[in-house]
Amino acid sequence: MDRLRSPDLGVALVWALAGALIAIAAWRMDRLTHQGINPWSAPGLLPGVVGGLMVILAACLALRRPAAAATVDRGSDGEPDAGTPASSAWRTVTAAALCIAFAGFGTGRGLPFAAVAATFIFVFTTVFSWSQWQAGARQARGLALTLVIAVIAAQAIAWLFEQVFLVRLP
Amino acid sequence: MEGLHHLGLALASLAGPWQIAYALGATLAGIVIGLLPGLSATLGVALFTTLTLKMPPTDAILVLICVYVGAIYGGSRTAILLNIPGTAANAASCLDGHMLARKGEAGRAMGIATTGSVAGSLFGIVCLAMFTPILAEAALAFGAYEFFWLGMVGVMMSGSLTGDDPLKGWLMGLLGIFVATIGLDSIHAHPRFTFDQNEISGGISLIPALVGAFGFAEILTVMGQPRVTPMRSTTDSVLPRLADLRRYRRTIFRSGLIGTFIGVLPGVGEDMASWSSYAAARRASAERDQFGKGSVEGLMAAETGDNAAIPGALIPALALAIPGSAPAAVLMAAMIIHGAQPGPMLMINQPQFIYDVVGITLVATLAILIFGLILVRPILWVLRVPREIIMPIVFVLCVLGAWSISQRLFDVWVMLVVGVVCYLLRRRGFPVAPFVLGLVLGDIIDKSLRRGLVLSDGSFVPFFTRPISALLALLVLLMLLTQFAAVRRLADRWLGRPLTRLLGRLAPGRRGGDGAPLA
Repeated sequence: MDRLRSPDLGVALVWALAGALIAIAAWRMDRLTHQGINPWSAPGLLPGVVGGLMVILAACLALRRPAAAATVDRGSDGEPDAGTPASSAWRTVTAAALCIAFAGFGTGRGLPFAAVAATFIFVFTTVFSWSQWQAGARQARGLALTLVIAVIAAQAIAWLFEQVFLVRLP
Repeated sequence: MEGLHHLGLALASLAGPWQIAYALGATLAGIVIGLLPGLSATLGVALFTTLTLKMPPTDAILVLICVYVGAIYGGSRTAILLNIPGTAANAASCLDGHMLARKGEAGRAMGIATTGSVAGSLFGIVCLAMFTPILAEAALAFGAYEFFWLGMVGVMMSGSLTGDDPLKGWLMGLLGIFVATIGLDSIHAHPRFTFDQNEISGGISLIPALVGAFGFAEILTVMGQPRVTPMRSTTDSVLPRLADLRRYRRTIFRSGLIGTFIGVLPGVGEDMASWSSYAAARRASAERDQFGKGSVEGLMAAETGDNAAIPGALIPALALAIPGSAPAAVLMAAMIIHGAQPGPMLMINQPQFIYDVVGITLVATLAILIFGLILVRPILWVLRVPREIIMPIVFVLCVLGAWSISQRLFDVWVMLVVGVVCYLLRRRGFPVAPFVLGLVLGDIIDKSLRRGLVLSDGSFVPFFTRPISALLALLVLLMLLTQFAAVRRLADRWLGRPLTRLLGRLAPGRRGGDGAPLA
């Protein structure tokens, strides 16, 4: 039975749900007829069509045979992608958590950007390099070097954006 | 003659010391971006768009095109030394480039990459100068109906050709179109999907979304992959050999032609140009058994094809406002930010601008030749910096890139959300390039559909009966129908296999052209 089920069934259901929600929201959108506007220029027209098409394509994705659905997992624009063993998943989740913590909750909270950026670079590099440093028994050297790189990189980026490109930092 | 006059003016304006410094600096930055696996030309152009906001328009476009050309060229280094394409466009170069490096001919392989890249770019530039004005003039006859179908062809073609599964590509294209409709609609200024939030009323900005899709998502991908150590055997000469140029002149010409043509196709891009040139070279070569084992001709074809696609991708971006690739889409958005209006009216309102772009692309090509000859070994030092140090620094740049456009934290969150969503979708085989095309072309599709329907009083007939509309509609229909095996077999018989494949290919592993394996 499993051999007849599309491997994309789960993701197809998500697409279908998203498409249906978009189509319903577009259908319920104000058509501005009370303003005497041509109904064919209603703002919800294209989103409605897009939502409907998403549902149809998602149905095709869900219903096709596994052989047709077999795809090679690649990065953007076709770059080959590695599989996701547990360590790879751990690295990805850790990287995502650190990036979101820095960008979403660290910046724009009144702290100097260069300091927050330096902390982020230091923590990120340390977390991902620690096992390597440990294997080579060079934790102290690694930490010191990373600290220097983090401070210099963060200061340089902040200076570049603020002084050269005249951008107010978050 | 008028064109030559404009081109002369453009080259004269690029000969100042600042312009030369910008060109060299931006090309070097582009090469470094291309060298680093995970950083794409699209991300490079997007990040530099935010950095060049305060620059004069011509200087800003000069920087962006140099980054674009430099990144596509720089990616070949990583393909040769690491067997990992620096950008997606260099994937075909891995096959023979890395095999040459393993034979101890890494320097020669880099010289061939330089020769091919410069030759391909020059070929594309000639086409850019010749065909953009002609296409722009022809497009003056286009109305809402034609622009609707052009936008749809762009999204559909990008969906068909940039991933492994057209169905998934089209879904991503539709997602891009949907995201483009968020915010105030461009005809009546009515809020769509804004949930009464003022920040969403302005819509989802292109640059933060792109930085998320090509920056944050790439960082997550790279950090999840195992480490790769670069090869260090670059002792042979990196100077391009004239004998190679003479010997493979037919391959260069053919690959330049294919690369430029693929570049012109809306939303397809440099990677497809590279694979198609490689496959065509292998079919025509007397040494086809050497392909994949360190063939100079194979590497030359791949590098000529992807670089010829850069000027090719700019042709529809300038003449029709329909970009030929994802980096060209960002470049087009940057042109609009800087006051240029790509599209049919460009030739009437700003004819000089087209020749400025031609001149800039020529300068960028000269810059990659200079760096290819004199700065090979110092540039390769970048590959030795661990990704654990590079990636957080790149992410800090991504945060500032998203922030700089409007200086809103909302845009930083857009970057984060788009990045995570694109990463998860990519893991399931959904390509990102059609999403970008949908995002860029969503507005033109939306306006053209509604204007067309208002003009025709709700009738869909003109969308299918006007000659160019009918042709474009037929193209969309063919792309849809070729997903069915029975139709594909029939089309194979009538149109020939290459054309059918181009219209809508499905088979996994198809990137290798006629059976060439992936690296």
